Amino acid sequence: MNLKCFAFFCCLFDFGHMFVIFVCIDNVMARPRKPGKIQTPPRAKAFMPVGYYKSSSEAVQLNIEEFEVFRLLDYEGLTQSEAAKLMQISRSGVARIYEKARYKLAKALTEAKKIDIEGGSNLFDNDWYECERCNSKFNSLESESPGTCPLCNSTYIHMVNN
Amino acid sequence: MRIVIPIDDNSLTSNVSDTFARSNYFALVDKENGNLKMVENPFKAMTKGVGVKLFEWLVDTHKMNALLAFEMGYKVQQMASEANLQIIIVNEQNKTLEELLNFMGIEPDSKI
Repeated sequence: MNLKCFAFFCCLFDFGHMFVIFVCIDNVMARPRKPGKIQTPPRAKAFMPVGYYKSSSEAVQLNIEEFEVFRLLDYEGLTQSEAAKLMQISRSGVARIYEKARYKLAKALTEAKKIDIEGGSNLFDNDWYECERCNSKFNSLESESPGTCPLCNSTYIHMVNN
Repeated sequence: MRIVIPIDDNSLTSNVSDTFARSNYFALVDKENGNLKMVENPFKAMTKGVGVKLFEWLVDTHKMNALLAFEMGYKVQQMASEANLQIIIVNEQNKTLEELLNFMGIEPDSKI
């Protein structure tokens, strides 16, 4: 606010530096939102309605962060501040994400739409991998790829990306 | 690697339990030498704080360093990631203990 007032007064007296002043105002824009921490990737990739099908292009996109907030608050029964601590974001941030998640789920249930659980800006505690032989998901304990599946020793693994 | 598998009853054909901390039995599997031990869950009847007690019991007493489950409570997940344990989330199609042991290449019949 102070910077905007400053820019306004500068404009009154100095038109020559207007360009510089407007660059200043641009720099005041909001910072990008911090991604919440996710414990484990969700079990299912999507949900389908039975008996009434819409094309998958009309699916509701529930992102992984929204799924995690919904899980922590309604399945685990945490309060918003407990969930915020766990995901390392603010309490009001949790409330905002929760509201979006509930609207999307209600919409999908009412309008009988497919629910895709994917995407969003999220941050896993560790890197997660999926084995293509036994289809299990596992975390890597080192920073580089573990190379083999800890369950079946298969080398056909891929990273679970956003 | 020593893997904990939550199971419904103490047989090889038992299903993997839906919940981690409130399962009836646990199979403690040593992947290196193929040892398999089944133990009853001592905290099953408790109503609160099962996950935390169970985690300490498994990691401190039994020296397990990998947890296998369909689903885990948030506290167990939090403690496991702090202790840098391996977590394996299995797929629904691999349901019995026997199938999981086959994946690990362990012949269970000779070890019990």
